[in-house]
This record gives sequence, structure tokens and C-alpha cells, in this order.
Amino acid sequence: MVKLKLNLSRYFPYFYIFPVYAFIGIIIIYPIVFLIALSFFDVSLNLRYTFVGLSNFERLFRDRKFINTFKPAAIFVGGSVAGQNGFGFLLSLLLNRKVKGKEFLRALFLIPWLISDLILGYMFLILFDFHGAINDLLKYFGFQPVNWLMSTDLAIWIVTLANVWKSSCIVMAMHSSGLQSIPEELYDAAYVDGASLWQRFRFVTLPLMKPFIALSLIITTVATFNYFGVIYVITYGGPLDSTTVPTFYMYRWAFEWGQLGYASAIGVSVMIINVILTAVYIKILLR
Amino acid sequence: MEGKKEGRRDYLKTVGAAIAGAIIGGALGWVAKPAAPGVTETVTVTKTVTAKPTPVKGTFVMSYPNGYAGHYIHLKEAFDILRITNPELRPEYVGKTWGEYYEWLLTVFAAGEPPDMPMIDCIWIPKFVELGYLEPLDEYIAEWPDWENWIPTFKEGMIWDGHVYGIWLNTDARVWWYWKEFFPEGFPSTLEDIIDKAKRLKAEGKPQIATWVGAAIYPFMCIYCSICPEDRLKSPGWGLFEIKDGKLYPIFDDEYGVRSMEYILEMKKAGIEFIDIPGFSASYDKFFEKKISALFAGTWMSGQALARGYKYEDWEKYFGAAPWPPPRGGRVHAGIPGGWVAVIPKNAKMPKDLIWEYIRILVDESVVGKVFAELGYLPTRRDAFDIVVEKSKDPFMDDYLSYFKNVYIRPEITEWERVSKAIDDAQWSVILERKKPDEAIKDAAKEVAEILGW
Repeated sequence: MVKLKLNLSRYFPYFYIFPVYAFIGIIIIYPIVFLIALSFFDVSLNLRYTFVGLSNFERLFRDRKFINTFKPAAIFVGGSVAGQNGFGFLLSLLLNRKVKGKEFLRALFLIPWLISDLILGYMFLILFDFHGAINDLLKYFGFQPVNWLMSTDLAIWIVTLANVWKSSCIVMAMHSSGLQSIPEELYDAAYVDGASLWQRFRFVTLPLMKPFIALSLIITTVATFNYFGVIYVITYGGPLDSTTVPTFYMYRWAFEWGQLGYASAIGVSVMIINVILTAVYIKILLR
Repeated sequence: MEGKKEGRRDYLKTVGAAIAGAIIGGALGWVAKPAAPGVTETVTVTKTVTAKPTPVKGTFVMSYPNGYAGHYIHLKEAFDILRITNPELRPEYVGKTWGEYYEWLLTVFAAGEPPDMPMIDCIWIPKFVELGYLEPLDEYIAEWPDWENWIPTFKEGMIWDGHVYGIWLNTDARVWWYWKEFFPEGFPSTLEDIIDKAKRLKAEGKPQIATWVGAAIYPFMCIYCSICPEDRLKSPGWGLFEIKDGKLYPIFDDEYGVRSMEYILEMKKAGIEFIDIPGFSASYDKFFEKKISALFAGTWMSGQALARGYKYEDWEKYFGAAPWPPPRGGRVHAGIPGGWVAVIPKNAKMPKDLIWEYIRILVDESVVGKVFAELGYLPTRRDAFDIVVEKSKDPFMDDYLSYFKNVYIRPEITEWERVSKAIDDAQWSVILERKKPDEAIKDAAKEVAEILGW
């Protein structure tokens, strides 16, 4: 009797952590496994599956339209990550100083993040439309209006700008918490040693902010690579696919053209790229 | 005015609409209606109510694109009649914007939770049929004499693999709406004249002419249908394809396709503005704010004017409506009409007989005549035209109907979304001067051939 009790008690910890593993399994592991499995099937929205092996991937690597999505993706991700982190870090530095009402300003700067993509998209549509406010301003100052959203070169920068405007504040919030964790004494010691403002930033702030910067770079890169909300509303991938990023291309295959298998193959490719990007960041920034 | 009547007569002749006394009788108690056009107020919607031995309880879910309130009014009008015999039936109206509606429908159908009676865009039917989402209506149709009143184009458009999958509720013609103050001489009647007018507007610094670019219709198929041989348009390939080895093969990259693209380039160079899909909704405001002087959209512009407070009686003072002007020597047509279709989902929760009864009320000519006359839609059944014309206060209604002299519907193929995107890309390549017209259309045809499995 005693022996049985002891044996059972060995397994108690597993019972305690089982809900967490079950949750992770259902919410994270199952969808990933399902996505990977789906990429080996020809399946449309009627959910009839035909096993096709690697042919979705073969087709993907021959699909010029898919390959072409990486050019706008590079601008969208590169521009957004640089803009969000640069602007967000700058804002956090400014708000880390003794500024009157800085808590209010922090809350104010978070508003863009709270705005839905639909409203944000329409705001930028109204601003950058050929008959929109920006062109009205240009005309007022005697310049020719620009067809921002109908230009294959400019449209991607407009959606990037919209994304920077939306998400810089969340980077600001992440960096603010990092800045607040740096002990004031370190700045005092550097000041006593004669360090200039730039030197204090370069040798105190930056090294101690490195883990926060790395984390925010990883998060913004992966988040932007997976995101196409503003693209959907502002340009719908156009003109001429110049703003079609891989995830939006995946979305169209899944929900517009109804080919879930092929869309899943795109999804798996995007996931692999995200893993590689994250690994590179970790390797470079946290070594 | 005489010309308008003439146009209407032409239409009626074309569609064989002189149906005297549409018979809607039958075992379920439908009654014969007086011969059009002598329809009077005595035709009331309540006459169409059928006796149901066992009233149905529960929530009856209907979905519709809510770009304009008209669909909701139509659904509600019919539901109020259905509820007379089913007093414990509760309505749930689900409205979605056009863009999100398609994806929402696909998602709820795939999840096995479709609305009981969704309105579906006519171009989505092949996809929904292929996915096995829709109930064939053959058995209901077989016992429904009204089916004979449908204009053949709108009847045939619902047949897939020999089965009927939907009832085409309403349609539209694609038209230019224009501000008369910028077109005192009237709207140009040829494409060459439009191009000249655009140049003049540009030189005078006045608001420009604008057209949507999308679904391959705007403006490519409008031009293409005006100039390619008519027998081709009536062929099973809808003018764009020929049947080769039992499969569709693109032929739109010939001289007519190239010429259509050349016209698009000329239009662009003349200053005409081209509007991409995300800008469609905003283009109504631009038109009514006079930022553009003419907009090529559809007959639903009537609804947009009403929604902005323009009264019918003032319209002719401000606006005009005109069909797509063909190139010199080309033919006038109704554009490529669209419209919304009533269907019965296979997984509908409500009894299918009840849904069918609701659909019959929706398309009863007295309901259609009443609702469309008020809201500016065009009917798809011949016997409703006269009622709509009789009751409509829309000053352009006669014009709209006259454009139906030549009606062509767009291809009903499952791959249409990808095919139309390839053609749209060709148009944008020309508009943005990335490709020459012949190169653009040939590339599109090559891509379409691949999409179609060549």
C-alpha cells in the first residue's frame, strides 16, 4: 500500500504541468504540425485531401510571382524594422529624460498601436490618394501632385510608413522598460569620469540595452514579415504586385483562390525564413 | 423621351419580354398577375404568401454585401412576408463589405456553418459549386413555372454541369455617371471622343474622367466586347476563349485584345484616371465632391446618389448616365453585368423547403418590382421590367434598360479570379507603361493558358 502511494507521487509533478503542455500543444504545436502536413497535400476549401508529396514546394520554387514577393518584403520588413526601432528608440530616450507629463505622452504615443488596421489603412488612403491631403498640400506649395499609390516604386514605401507609424510606439514601450532598468549610478559614475553625453550613451546605455534591442529587432522583424494588414487595406498588393509580400501572397492563395495546400507551402517557407532570421539575430546580437 | 422608349422597346424585343400575364400559379398557391405593363398598386406582395402547414421556429440567417442598404431592404421585405406564415421565425441579417464578404463566406461554408440564405456574387457561383457548398435547385425549378420568365442570360448563368444552383436576384449595367456641367455637349459617344474630351479637360485644368480597373471588366472587356466579332461573344468561351481539346484556351491576345490595350494606353496618355480596387469605394465620394467629372462604375451609382441625399427630381439637372462608348464602328452594350444570386447552402440549418419558399418570395415580381423601383436595381426576370419602369422614380432607368440590348456575361469558370487578375495586371502594365500593349496582353494570355492547365 505504502509502495503504491510512493510510485504515484513520482508522477504528480507531471500532472501539474500537464495543462501547460496540453495548452502549448493545442495552441502552438498542433497548428504548426497541421500547416506542415497540409503543405504536402492538394487541398481546396472543400477539405478533400490528395497527397502530392513535395510538388507544392517544387511549384513554389518555380513560381516567379512568389520569388518576386521578396523584393517588396525586403523593403517592407527592412524599412519597418529600421523605422520602428529607430523612431521607437529615439522616443524612448526622449521620454526617459525628466520631461513634464511623460506618462501622459507615453500613453498618447501608444494610440497608433490601438487603432485598427482598417482605420489606419483608410487614413493613409485618404492622405496619399491622388486627390488626397498630401497632394493638396503639394499643390498649395506649387508642386505637381504625385500618384503615390499608383506607383510601383512608391506604394511600398507608403505602406511601410503606415506600419512604422502604427508600431513604433510598441518598440518605444519595450525600450522604455529597458532604459528604466539601467541603474542611475552608472551614468553618475561615467559623468564623474568625464564622459560626454554621447560617450555615456555609447558606453553605458547601448551595451546595457543590447538584450532589449535584440529582442525588439527579433519581434519587429518576425511580426512585420508575417503582417500584411495595412497592405490589404491601402494597396491590396498592387499596383502590379509591387506591394505583395509573401504572407499576402499566401493569403490570396488560401482565401481568394482557395488552394490551401499551396498556401501552406508558402506558410512553411515563411516560417523557415522567420526561424533563420531569428537565429541570425540571436547569433549576432546576443553573442 | 421617345428615344428612351425606343431603347426600352429594343430591350424588350431582344429579351423577348412581351410576357402577357406572367403565370405564377401552381400547387403552392401562387397567383396569376396582370399583364405587364398594366401593373397597378393592387399587386401586393402579400398575395405571394404560401400556406405552410407547420410554421418553422428558430433563427433564419441571411447574409448580404452591405455596400448599400438596398440588399438589406430587399431581404427584409421578403422576410416580413415569410414571417406571416412562420410567426416564430426570427431574422438575422449579416452584412459584410464586398471585400470581406467573399472571404467570410468561404470561411463559414468551409466550417460547415453557412447562413441559411446567403446572397452570392454571380461570379463566385462556379467556385462554390466546385467546392460542393450549394444545393442543386433542379427539383424546385421543375415545379416552378416562374423560371421561364428569367432572361436566358441570367438563367444560363446559374447552370453548372447541367444543374441549376442559384436564382439570379438582381443585376446592373456598367455605366458612366457624369456631371453635366463638365459635359454641356453631352457625354462622348465614341471612345475616340472620350479621349479627346479628357485631353480638353486636362488642358482646362478641370476634373478628369476616371474609370475603375478590375475584374478584367473595367475597362478591358468593355472595349474588347465593343470591337471583337459578336458571334465570338456568344460562344461558350465568352469571347475570351475558344474550346480546344475540350478545354478553354485564351484567344484574347489577338488583334482585338491588342487594340483594346492600345486604347487603354491612349486613355492614360489623355489624362484619364485609373482607379485600383482599394480606391473603388472612395471613388464615389470623389465623384460627388466633383474631384472627378465622370466615373465608370455601374447602375448602382443611383443608390450612391440617393445615399448622399440627391433627390430623383434633381438628378437630370446635375447628372447624366451613359453606356461605355465603343470605339468608332464598335457596338454599344451593357458592359458586363454582375448581380447577386440567392442560393441554398447544403449545410443550411433551416429546412431547405423553407429557404426555397423565401427565395421565391424574394424574386416574386411584385417584390422585385416594388423594391427595385425604389432602390435602383435592375431585375433579371422579364415580367418585372415593366413594373420596375412603371414604379421607378429613377430618371435613368429607361437608359439603363436600353443598354441591355446586348448583354454579355463574364466567364463562369472556377479560375476566373486568377484569370481576371492576369488581365488586370496586363492593364496596369500598360497604364504604368511597364509593357507595350501587345506584349502585356500576350503575357496575360500565356499566364491564363497556364492557369487553365495548358
